[in-house]
Amino acid sequence: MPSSATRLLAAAGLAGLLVGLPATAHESFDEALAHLDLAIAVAPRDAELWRRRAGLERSHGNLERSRADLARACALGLAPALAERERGLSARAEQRLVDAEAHLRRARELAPDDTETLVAHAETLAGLGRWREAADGYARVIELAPDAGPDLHLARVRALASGGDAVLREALRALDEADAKLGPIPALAQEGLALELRAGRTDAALARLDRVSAPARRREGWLVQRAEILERAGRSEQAVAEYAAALASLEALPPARRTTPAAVTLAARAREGIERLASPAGANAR
Amino acid sequence: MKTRRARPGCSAGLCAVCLALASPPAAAESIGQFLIPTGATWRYLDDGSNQATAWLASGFDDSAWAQGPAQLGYGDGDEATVVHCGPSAPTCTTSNFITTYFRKSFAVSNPASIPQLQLSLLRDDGAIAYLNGVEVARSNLPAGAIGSSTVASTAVAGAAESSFFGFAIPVALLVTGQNVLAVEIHQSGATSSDISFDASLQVTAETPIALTRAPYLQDLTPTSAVVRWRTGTASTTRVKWGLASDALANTVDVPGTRTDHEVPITSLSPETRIFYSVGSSAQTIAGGDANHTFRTPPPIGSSRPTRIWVIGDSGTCAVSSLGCTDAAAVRAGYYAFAGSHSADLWLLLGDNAYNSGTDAEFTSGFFNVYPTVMRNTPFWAVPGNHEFGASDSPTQSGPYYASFTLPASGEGGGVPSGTEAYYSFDWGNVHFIALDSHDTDRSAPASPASNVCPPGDGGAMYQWLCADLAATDQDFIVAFWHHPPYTKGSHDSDNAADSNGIMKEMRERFLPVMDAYGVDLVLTGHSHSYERSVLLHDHFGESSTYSPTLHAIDTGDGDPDGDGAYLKDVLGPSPDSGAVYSVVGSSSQISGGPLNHPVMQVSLNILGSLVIDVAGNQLDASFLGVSGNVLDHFRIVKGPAIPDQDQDGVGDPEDNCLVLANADQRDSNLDGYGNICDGDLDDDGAVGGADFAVFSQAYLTGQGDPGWNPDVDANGDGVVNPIDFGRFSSAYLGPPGPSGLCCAGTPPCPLP
Repeated sequence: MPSSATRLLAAAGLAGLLVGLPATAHESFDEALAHLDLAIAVAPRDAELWRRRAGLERSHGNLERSRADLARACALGLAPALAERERGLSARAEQRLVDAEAHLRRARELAPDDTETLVAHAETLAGLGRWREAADGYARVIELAPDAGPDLHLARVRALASGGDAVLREALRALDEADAKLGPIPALAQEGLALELRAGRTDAALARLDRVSAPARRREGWLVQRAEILERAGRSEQAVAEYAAALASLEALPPARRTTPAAVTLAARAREGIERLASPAGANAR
Repeated sequence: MKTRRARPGCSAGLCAVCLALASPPAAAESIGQFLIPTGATWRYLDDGSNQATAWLASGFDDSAWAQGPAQLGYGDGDEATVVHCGPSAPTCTTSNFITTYFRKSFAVSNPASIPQLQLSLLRDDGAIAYLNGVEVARSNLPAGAIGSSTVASTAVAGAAESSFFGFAIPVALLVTGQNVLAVEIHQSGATSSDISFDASLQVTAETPIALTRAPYLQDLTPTSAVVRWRTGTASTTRVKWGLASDALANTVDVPGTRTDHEVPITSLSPETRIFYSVGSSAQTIAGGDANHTFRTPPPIGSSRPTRIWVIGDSGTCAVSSLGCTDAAAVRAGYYAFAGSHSADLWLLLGDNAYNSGTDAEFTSGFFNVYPTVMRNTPFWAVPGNHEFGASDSPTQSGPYYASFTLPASGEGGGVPSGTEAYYSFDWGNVHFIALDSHDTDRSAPASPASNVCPPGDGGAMYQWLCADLAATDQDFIVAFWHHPPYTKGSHDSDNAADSNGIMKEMRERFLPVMDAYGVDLVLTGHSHSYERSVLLHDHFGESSTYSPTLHAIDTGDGDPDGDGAYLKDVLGPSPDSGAVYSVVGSSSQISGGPLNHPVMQVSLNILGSLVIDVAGNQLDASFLGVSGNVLDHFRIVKGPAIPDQDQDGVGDPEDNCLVLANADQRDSNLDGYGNICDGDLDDDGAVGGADFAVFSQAYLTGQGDPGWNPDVDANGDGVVNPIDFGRFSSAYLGPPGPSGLCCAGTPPCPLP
């Protein structure tokens, strides 16, 4: 019979092998947890393993167990910046946003260029309504990550936009910066239209719409949206013309394309727009 | 014998200088030449002063400094020039100066001719060297700023006092004309009794550059491509390309030096075979042969036979405990199946590098596994969960994003996404959509099954997908991402806790969009198995809610030799016409599972990959085992049936040779008749004696030979031989063709 030491070594070897295997590729939560349990049993003083298990528990809503694992990780010497970040993420998961912000702020002070911390901090600030600091946080991430994608740019713009009408122009400037980096992408364009209309700048909204729609191979959706903007601005004749152009464009499509849900909805919006503007109330508005 | 006439004003003593002035610009520097030899005469300053930085400039006036030949120093007795040690001279036992300064000017006639520079430095104790004001070498000195009081890290003694230390110097710092090498020698302390200095600067041949990632092709469009590779040491960057391997007439240089090389090539023509090589400005590292070649895609929207290779979860070669046997076997299966008909493009379904997607894992788990595929076949990737141990989508950072060039700007067709995390592109008549299911905001509107694509609603990826699908008119739409909406393999798409619920989210939020816009095929990985659905629509719930009556458009196997192909009435996007969902996650490991999802027609716990062939209105998909055997085959046929007499996959109305199969549609003289049935070499409408004369002149020639004529090469094998003569003779005294193209016989008659 092998000695207990031999068996322990064999178990450690097996566990070491398992630790080297994919942790999440084909695992359910239970399997991933079992995997980390085993790894921790083999290396109980590895703070990183405890941190990972805390994160796994947190992502599945097991907040109490997550807290306990994190406390253990910290006791084992988890790097202070990481510890503060994890505490912040835990507090955020528990909806304790003020605590979360404090932890993430400290994490940020300890690791000022860690983009994961910066994003979590900015998100938490946004959740607290501290839009200016949130926007600044996102701006810092974008500065540190020159290839930042649409999500971060949108988050920055939305944080600014939540600051009220006084900062709409600043939000639009941030949007334009994003536009310059990423090109005319749909989500930015829609955000820009919404902001311009909120600011009462119809022509600026139309110009923005024209910029994004110019290279589009299919323009029906943009035409209907343009018409709706014109209609809301009381420019009925132009609106009718745009609705009609959209309908003509839709009718020129092959039958299969005309029957997509999107095309049917668009056609309905265009027809309803024309009918509205042809009605006595609509006519009075001209 | 020619005699040199003295220039006016030249005295005998100045003759050498005058001759130099009279000469044309000096020839380029040569390999082995010393720009500064050992024992050269240097200017030096040995007064213990602090010279800060002004003295480093090449224009600094050092004429007041002393000068003398190397070796320079004191205290050892072997100096050619003894410099002043400090106030305790000549004993030099205490209060010695810490820093002594040396400068040497030298001329360079043509910096571009210098492949590499080698500095050899004898220093006792420490030294820092600057070329034209820029630090180029530091030896036995601490990191950080160096001042006149900075002492050497260690005291040098014994053999090290007379050893030369080598440094590679960036040639980019050289300028035409006068250059200056400036060196500070630092004592290890004020009581150190000696210093020594000598140096040489030599032109050397560039050392062979090691290729650590073989060339690979990215972001291919009908008119552009990106060629990438990695070298073990930083080097300059050059791609040469052309239409034949021995005629790479075009050169693209990227300024500067680097290890990760990324070169965009533009101004290409569609459907053109390109040969290329990669390397530095001084040497070719790979290519310039028949193996390094690719073919540009056809114009967007045009219908050409297209082959696509698909692998998922392929990255286990990076995990030593799993070995590389299985990924290699899958690759071998593809080779066996494809033979000489390799794929035009290649899709990676994520988890391309286990465990965490580090840079080293990408090298060992991906780049080292498929070097011979990737030099010919461009690939497009999506990230899996394992990429995100080291990469991040919101910031597009980490090894995944650093390794790949993906079309964020709509450059290959499609709507710009602004990110490489998700994107689209076109190839011929197929529109491809790639999504990031793991690390990008998956937000969708409320009630996504019934509220599809309301303007401005949903996350950026959702909004982009809506805009992109609304904009495409392509015959086929293929979408791919990592997490499967339906699986009962090593993952369970019914289990909301599995993979953080991503599979459920993708199914509930994104499949309604796929349905609404008529996506034909959805490819995913994640489960390490092969699973393939029936033709399915309107099913966004768990497996228990699946009803064949409600959700299957065709419950058959889709195999033309079985239940028959899946038929879709419309060629082009057609709403709610159903899609086939395939999990291809067994390209380097299998992990079993119940494999009993009811939407699946086929579920296999077998290693393999998928090959898709699109020709005209027909898409064929074949799941290959490791020996290249087809373990599953289904076909989607779209639109009204198009006649295809010769069964070459090109419908008769677009076929430039109706009765002889020529999937490549090669028509070298652009007369609308494919070469395979075009013996009319003089374009007079008939195959006759004049054509025979043309044929005879090219007979038994090969590509590149004198007399070679591509029009005579009927079968496109690069030689004109009896096979071509057989084709020619069978058409003799008849008309060319027949062709299905309206413009046949009136060149130029391009393919539709």
